[in-house]
Amino acid sequence: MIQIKNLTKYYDDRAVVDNLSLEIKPGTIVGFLGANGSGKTTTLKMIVGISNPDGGTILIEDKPATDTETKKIIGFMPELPSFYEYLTGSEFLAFCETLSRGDASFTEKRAEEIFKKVGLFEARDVPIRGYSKGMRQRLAFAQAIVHDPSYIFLDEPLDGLDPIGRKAFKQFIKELKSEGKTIFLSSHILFDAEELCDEIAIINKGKLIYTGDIPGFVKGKKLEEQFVETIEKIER
Amino acid sequence: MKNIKAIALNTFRESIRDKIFYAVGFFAVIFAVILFFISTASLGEETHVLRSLGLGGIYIFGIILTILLSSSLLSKEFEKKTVYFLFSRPVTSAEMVVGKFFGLFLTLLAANILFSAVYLTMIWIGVSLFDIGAILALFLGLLEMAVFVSLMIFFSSVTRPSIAVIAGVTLLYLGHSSTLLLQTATKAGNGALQTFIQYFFYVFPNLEKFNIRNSIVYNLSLTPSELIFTVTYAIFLIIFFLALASVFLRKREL
Repeated sequence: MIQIKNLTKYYDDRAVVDNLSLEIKPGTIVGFLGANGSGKTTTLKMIVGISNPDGGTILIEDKPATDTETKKIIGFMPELPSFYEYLTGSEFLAFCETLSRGDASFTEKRAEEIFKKVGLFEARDVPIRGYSKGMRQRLAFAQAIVHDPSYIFLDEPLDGLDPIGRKAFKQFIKELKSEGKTIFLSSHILFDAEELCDEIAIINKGKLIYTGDIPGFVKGKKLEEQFVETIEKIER
Repeated sequence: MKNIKAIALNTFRESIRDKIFYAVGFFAVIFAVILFFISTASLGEETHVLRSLGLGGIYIFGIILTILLSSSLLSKEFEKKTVYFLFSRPVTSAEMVVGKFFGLFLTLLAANILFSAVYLTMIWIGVSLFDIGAILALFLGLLEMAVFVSLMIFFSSVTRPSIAVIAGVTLLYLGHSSTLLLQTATKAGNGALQTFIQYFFYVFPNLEKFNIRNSIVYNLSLTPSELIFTVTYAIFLIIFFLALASVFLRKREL
């Protein structure tokens, strides 16, 4: 379980995440939704230990998110990922696995399985600077799961992908859920969230305005329609 | 330790495959050609000229390469956000800083070995001398580059690349001038100036400690105790700058 309590972050005296509290149950896919600039990425960065909160606590399986042991069981896929351009996909994946666990059981065979899973097997020994955008998204996803984490955080995972790529990624996410993983994904594409997520958490200007299941929020409407109406009502 | 090793290897791979390193190879060839022509035109002073220009050339190429590679070592990670892959994992800022240092040091070591091999070969061809004395000068030159790398890593952790380069080059210049400045102030008999320069001398890195190229050319060398002191001084400076970089990196907003 992930327990976030009173999470706060300030940039230039402005609260970009404002007293956010949220619980994420194990084995669920939770969609973290909000408009651009609402605080989704900032929240994610604090959860995975990249950024320090100005207030509040984050516990993953009752341990602080910044704890070394906690970081071994989480995987993070950043938005619009950049890489070390001169490394090959294989070298980069091995590098990430070493930093996460350095497990002696991580073999070339396991790496090949992951590359096959994300559709990069043929390109695994090609320098990353030769990868297309879709391939980079797949590699970013691969490095998030290479060490078999229990909790996976995905920041806009479907951004910029073509329809075939989007279908593949949604399938990856469903497979991870069937393996018992907990997935927390942020997105501003509500159609995808509607298809994938068990629950949603909606953030607007740093504040959480809804957490719960989708039917409880949409009340018979389309998610996007209800989302826009809700935000516009708040803004007025 | 595994994290430091992984980051060092990663940094080494990235640096050695960077196009800048191909330029190093190209300049090694130019260097060899220049040394060859100098050796044929020195009118009896071949040994002195070859050693002087050879050791000086290796130092200058090495420092230029150090500046080019180290000035953007950390800032590239922040700009491209590859640092997210590191800090979302159980990696500390100290491990990142030390790993980056060793990775770049290995790159400089590779470049220095290449240039040194060219130099020693040209000396052998030119004057039939295996310049064993130069190996000490090359070693201390490499040590200075290691100190400079740690300094640039510190600057990169607190400011952007352009300012880090300016600060680094300034300290490089002052670091080689401090002994001369102190001697001049002492001779001038200006008490206030002497005190100021003395503080400066002890606070800022004295990089002239690593410069024994002129001594080697005139067949002088360091005593063992001087060598031990110089190596210890370098290790102290490296640890100091990397520790500072680690502290600033931890506080940096990513």
